[in-house]
Amino acid sequence: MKKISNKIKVLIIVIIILLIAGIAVVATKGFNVGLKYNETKKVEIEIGKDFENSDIKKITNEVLSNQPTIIQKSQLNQNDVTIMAKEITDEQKTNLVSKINEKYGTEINADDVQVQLVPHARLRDLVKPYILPFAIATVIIVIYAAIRFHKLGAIKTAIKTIFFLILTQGVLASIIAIIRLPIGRTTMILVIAVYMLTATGLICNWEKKLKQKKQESDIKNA
Amino acid sequence: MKRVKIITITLIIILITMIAFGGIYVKKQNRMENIMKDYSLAMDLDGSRVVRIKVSDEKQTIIKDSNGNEVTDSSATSLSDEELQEKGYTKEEQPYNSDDVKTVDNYKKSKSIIEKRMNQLGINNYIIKLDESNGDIVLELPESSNTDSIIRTIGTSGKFEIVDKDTQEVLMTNADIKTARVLYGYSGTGTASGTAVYLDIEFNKEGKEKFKNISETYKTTQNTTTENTTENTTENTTSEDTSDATQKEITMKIDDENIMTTSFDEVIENGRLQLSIGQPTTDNDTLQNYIQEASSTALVLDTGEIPIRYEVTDNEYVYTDITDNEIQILIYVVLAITVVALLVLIIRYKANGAIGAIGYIGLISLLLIIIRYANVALSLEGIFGIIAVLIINYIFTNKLLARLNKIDKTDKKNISINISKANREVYKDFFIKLIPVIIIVITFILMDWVPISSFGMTMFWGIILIAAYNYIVTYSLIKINADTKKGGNKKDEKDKQ
Repeated sequence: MKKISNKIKVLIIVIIILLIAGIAVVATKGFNVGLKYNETKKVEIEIGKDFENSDIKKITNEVLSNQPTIIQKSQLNQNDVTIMAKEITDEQKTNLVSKINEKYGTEINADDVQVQLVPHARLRDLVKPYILPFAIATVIIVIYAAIRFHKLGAIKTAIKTIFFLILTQGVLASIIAIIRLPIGRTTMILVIAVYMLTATGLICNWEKKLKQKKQESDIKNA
Repeated sequence: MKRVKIITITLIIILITMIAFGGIYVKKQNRMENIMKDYSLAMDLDGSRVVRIKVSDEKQTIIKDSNGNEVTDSSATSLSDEELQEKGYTKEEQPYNSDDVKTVDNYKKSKSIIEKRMNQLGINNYIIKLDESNGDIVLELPESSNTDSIIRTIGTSGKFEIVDKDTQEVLMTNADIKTARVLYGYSGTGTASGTAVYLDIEFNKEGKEKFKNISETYKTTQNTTTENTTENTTENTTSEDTSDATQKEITMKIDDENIMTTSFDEVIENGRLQLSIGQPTTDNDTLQNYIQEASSTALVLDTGEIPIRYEVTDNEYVYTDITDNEIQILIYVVLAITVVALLVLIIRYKANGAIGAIGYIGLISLLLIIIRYANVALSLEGIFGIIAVLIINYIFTNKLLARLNKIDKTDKKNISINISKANREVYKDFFIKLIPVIIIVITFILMDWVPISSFGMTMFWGIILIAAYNYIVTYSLIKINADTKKGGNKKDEKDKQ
């Protein structure tokens, strides 16, 4: 049986712990979904003047106790602001309106501003468009690896390729769950990056082994 | 001469870089205008149309007879209260969406049908959110010239019925439809000639059978007149009986609106119903309107009936929350890292490192220009693609320079050959290892979903440039520089002699 070095043993143990911890966190608390895709409260305020998002951010930090917020300009003239946060009470809404009135010299009536609930997006819906391209790419990469490295064992190579591609995504998901990284627009970028690195790393590793095997067979033949 | 070549190429690269980062300014109407095409931005970097559709609370007027049955004759709705009373009818206001329709399953079904419609309309980037407590749906979709008509279409119920004109008995519904599509062709009959647009509804197996029976039952009948002559002993009497066979007709309704009333001249066995939309026309704008109308109807019939009536309550354009400031910070960080990395190249590889750095800058500039003109919709994933190209190109350049550094520089005679050989080895080794990335990129560029194709396209152009540009420019510069040094050494040796 192939001897596994201590470093590899430690790595395997760390990966197992990460996976178990990740599953436990997801099962109990779920993923931390970022504001963009989570259920939020929204207010739309017609300022009627030019404004900077950073100024509105200062106001929301003050009124909403530094809650994470999404601030967007709306309408074609960019004079309306949409503020989204996990929670906006009526009192907070009134304070927001009064601060904006103070800052921009407007006379917006807080009663004209409604707090709307924005429902959450399902994580399944966010991931769905990526399933097919990843599946196709994985199949092609596995077939390529099996053919290119058939001297190392086509089936063994194919299985290892699938295993490591899935394992690294599992570890990434666990890390995201454990450190409570918000699921948002950058999550799929991380997934793509890890996928590409894993696939390239595997191919580089197989190329190195193939080269070693070729050198060994050349020496034997010599 | 060779130094001139190096300087010329370097100046061209500087020019391309200035164009990529600055633009091309020309004088137009007494002011300078940048004629460089701007980046095409995806929803996450530009903005989106945010639409909220709510379960409708609207009510409809129902007329009931004295037995409590609904009066389906459409003329009953126009009767006055006194007339209704005379006939023993009562008027009731009923919500379009009754309580038994407002279920989580129906909300989810509605969301699923709306998603299907958006996919069929080719909307390749959207976010859809459903509030399961009240059925509200919030959509974020990219802004385009037909966003308003898309919004109208996706929220339409799409209820299809074929009913008996007299009894209002429902004969066929959405469940009988297999597919609906738009057909058009030239129609040259009579005064109205031109391109005709048809809505073609194909029924499924059960629907085909039902439709055949309906076309048999509701066949167009002829008027018949019979004469009866009787004679008796005292007087002659002649009487004429004229009887008309009752013409049964069907009414086709979409969203409770009567589309047509007809009978059938012949039995239809192919399970297809074709409706003409408008008149045959040669006017392109009119034709486009007819096609648009037919396409909207075909889409709602093809994707199924939304079980709940929705109404649009909010519809506004919202800009991205990613500010210009945040993008600038990202650019500055990437620039700073790139500058440091290029300085490392120069320090490590000296003249070749400087050439590599110049080539590197040229490649990035060219990539940014190509992205603008190749209509790549830039999303956050696309920006990541650009950063990935920066990293891959740096690794390639470093590998190439490292390999060239190992060449025996004392062997002046064969230096060009050795450089070519080294270049080939690096290309082969590098691109073989890049194959999985190439597979991922090619797969992604074939996808419709904008964030995926944005990443794919930026990487695609990046990899093409890494291969072609580095061979044409970077490698050529390094070779010219090596030849220049060889020539310079030969000159030194001659001077010594």
